[in-house]
Amino acid sequence: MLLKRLGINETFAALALVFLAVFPMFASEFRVELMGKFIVFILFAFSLNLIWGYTGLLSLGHAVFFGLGGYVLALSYSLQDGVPSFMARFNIEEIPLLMRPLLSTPLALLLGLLIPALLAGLIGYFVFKSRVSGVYFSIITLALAKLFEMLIVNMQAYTGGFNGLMGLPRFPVGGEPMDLVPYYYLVLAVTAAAFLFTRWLTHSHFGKVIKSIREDESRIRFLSYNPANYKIFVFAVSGLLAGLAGMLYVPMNGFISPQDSGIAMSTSLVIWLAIGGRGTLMGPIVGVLIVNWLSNLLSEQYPTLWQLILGGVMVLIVLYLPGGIYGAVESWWKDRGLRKKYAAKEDQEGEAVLYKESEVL
Amino acid sequence: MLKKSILSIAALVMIVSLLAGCGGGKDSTAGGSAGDIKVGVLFSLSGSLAVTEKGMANAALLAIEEINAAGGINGRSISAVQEDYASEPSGAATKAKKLLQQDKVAAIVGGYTSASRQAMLPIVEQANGVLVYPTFYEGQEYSKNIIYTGATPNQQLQEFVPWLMDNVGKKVYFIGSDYVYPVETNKQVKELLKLNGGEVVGEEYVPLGQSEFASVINKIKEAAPDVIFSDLVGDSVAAFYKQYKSYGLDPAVMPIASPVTAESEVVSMGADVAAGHISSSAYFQTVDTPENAKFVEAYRAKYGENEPITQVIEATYFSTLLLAEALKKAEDVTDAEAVIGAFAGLEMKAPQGTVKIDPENNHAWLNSRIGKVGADGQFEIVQSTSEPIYPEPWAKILYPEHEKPWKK
Amino acid sequence: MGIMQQVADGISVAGILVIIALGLGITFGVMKIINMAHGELIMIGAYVTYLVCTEGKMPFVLGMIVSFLVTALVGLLLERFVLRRLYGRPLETLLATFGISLFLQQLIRMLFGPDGKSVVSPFQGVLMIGEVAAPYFRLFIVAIAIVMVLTTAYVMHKTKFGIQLRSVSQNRDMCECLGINTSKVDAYTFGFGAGLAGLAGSILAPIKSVSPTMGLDYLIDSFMVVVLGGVGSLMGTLFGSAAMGESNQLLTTFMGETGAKIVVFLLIILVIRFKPEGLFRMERR
Repeated sequence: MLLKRLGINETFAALALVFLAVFPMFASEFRVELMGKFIVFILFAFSLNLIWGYTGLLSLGHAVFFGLGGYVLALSYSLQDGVPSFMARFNIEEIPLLMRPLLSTPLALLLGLLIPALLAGLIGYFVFKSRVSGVYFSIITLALAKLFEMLIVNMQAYTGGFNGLMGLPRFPVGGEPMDLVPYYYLVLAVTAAAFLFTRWLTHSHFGKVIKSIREDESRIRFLSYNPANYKIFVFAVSGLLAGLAGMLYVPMNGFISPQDSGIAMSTSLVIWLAIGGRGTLMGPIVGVLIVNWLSNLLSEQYPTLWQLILGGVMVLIVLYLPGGIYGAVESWWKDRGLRKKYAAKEDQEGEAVLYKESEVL
Repeated sequence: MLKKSILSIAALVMIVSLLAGCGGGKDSTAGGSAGDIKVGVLFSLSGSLAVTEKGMANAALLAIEEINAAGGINGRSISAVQEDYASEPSGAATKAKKLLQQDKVAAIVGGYTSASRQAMLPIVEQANGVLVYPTFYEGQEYSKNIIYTGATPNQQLQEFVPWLMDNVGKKVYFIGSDYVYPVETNKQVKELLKLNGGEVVGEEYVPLGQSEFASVINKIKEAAPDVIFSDLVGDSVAAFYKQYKSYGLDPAVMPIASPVTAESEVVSMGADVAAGHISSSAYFQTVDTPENAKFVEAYRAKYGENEPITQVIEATYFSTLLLAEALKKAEDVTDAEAVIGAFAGLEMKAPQGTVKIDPENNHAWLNSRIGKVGADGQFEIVQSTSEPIYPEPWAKILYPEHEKPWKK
Repeated sequence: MGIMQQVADGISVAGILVIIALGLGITFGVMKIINMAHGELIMIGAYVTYLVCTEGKMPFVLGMIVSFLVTALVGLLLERFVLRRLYGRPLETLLATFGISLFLQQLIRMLFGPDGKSVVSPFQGVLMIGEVAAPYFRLFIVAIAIVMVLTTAYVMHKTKFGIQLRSVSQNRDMCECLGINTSKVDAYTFGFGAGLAGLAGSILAPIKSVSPTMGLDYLIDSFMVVVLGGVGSLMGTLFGSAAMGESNQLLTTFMGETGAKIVVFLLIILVIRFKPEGLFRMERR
């Protein structure tokens, strides 16, 4: 049974990997860059999937961690040639002490992972340690996204403000900026590694614990696990992955702006994952590719209609396809391929219990 | 086995459709025959900025229609390739790249926020394309690939501030949205205040989108200025003017003066709230020129009677017409240098009056007008320049020594 | 100094917060529904007022009433066709209402265009109490906030519907056994909460901008108020608003709008950590 289950995920994963790997050979530079961004979004969706899909806690402000990673790297780039113009405009004549560490790119790369992870851990500590329901977590992260966006705009002397940080080079590995296609493969490799990491993590003992937290937190507490610590840890890891995605995004995009790290981006991410299928390995990939592809196809001719459809589809997905597209494919496969419906049933029952529990708040 | 193959087929279909979608794209070109010259029209049609940019896109399309009706570019018609960047700068970058690389447009008319322009700048330079940017902005920029047809701060301010000093009063309170345009604009206003004997009695920046102004209004009342200089943008504008009125402040005593507030903002706050306040702009809908009468009529016939027409809409309209002139003059429309070269010194009668592109700095010479909102919600023009004003991307009064990048 | 004025303005900001948070206090606090479309219900209320008062040139009071009724109807429809299927699944509800908020925002944008609309304020002028200026419209807002709280308290505690509502929220199964039509109670409760949101939009229309994107800030603020004050308690919402309005208003004097918002946010995080039942939760079930 396990083999079969791996079968479907592996088939899809391999197909997706082959598709993404050969894509630059056929597509124009513009398309490659666009697809490169989508791959970064896939990585970003993996990070949300950890906390939302597997642990059952919806972060509505995940772009904050994405943006933190991105801004750390972007600031590091901007500082390389002395005081950047957005600082000079506010009469700052030398690089502020707190930003000095960013002058070293390797250190910036490290900080781009650690700062988001730390912030996530900190927020996790405050929210998860007191046993409020997951809904509080969603609200707090939503407010965080709003505030973070405001803060970046407000601290414009240090962050470039509303206009963001512009004109950043491609990933200068070893001093030399990379070309688009090698950089594309670098992003693909990192994302593939993140996929394997997610797979490993969710199949490990740790993964079983966090899934049980999603299903029934009080039961796991009886078994003398401390769910709060697990949640904090998963959220920190998720923040770290989001920071990584943010750092990969900056060179692909050429700039970063507050919109990439606030509510709009967080919202898009939630939509991708909900439609693709949260709590499944392939859901993030399916969601990001389908939604972004359709968005590129439809939003030009029907920009207003597209938003309407997206909202409507969200509602329909929640009502009729709670597992998302890939979740539906996966459970169809499980139902059909085997007479043992035991796996699917277990999931559904588990969820039903969860809902009863969380109703108590 | 069978199921697996069905699945693989399903997966293949998905991938093929993805490929088709990405590779094929769609031509939003309106009947693009081989002889047409393609021009990109890149504004936000969705998202928070669509409120302003929809009108700009409309103006560009109207201009292109008129150009084609008048015989096009040396016998070739223009086909517009319209894209939406959904109010996100990264979208502007992506879509600009698509227009230049995939559609191979001769030029792009587009961009509203500075963020969108700055996002497009490296892409347009790298692909050696042409971008016509029709929005007033904070200046301090020059790109050999961009034609700036919106006002620089000096064009909006050098007539406005002295007029305020002479006709309203010398004590000024600044209120602005917290980003670079208000900061740069206010720097120049302050410099002009010094020259004209004015005085700053307060300064406040609020987050973009702020809609609660009770405490700001308090501070203003305490400072008791003669005039409030507002460079608020977006939703904050209407909220601030409305709350100003609800606190019983009187435009006859302490008017709000703004280089941003235009016809569309007046609609969203209501004429009763806006009446008596003052704006500076290159263009008001009430400008009395034959070109403007024709433009307003054509725009309204196409997009509706009640659509407010603002300076950015007018700028987009005449920029697109100017672009057509440049394309006519250029020997090879696919050569960016030739097109930009053709822009230099180009002059036309726009709805706002005579405008011309400076032969050196790629910015436009524009008119300057001061308007006071009347009871009907339209601007009554109280002062108007007779000649267009020279654009200073780096204002002389602030940066007299600044190098001129176009001289390199 | 202006400190008295800031306090007075804080009261009026608190009044606004009470008005916007009251509807959410009921749907979230009592029914445990996470309504992400709350802001959009406020927006619909504002647009209805625009239609009635600006387009239809009717008196403001009529705008308020119609707004309440229309949004209550929208709420009933949402409850009937979407939320009813999701009771007891807060995360799913959150996601579905989130989709609804995108949908409503876009629908309004398509119907009315993306540009802002205006509603004329029914009260002009300012009342001077010593040095403190209180615009009549702000006084009106505070008065309305008080009336809304009192009415809601009356409905919840003195009417049959309110008593049923509170019993259902405490023990649904038992109520069903006792013959209470719980699905009807749910529907009316949500409709009532939605109507209050619409009323809020109507009242704010004359002083704020009426645009399709206006809802989001109100949503976040309302949630903050409810969390700060304590979920499921009317008094909590009232005191939560007062605390948030005053602290925000006073802090802006020292650190500007952004700084004040950040301090208030940190305060709320601390409240969640150390007093998760909210600062002002008095009753305990």
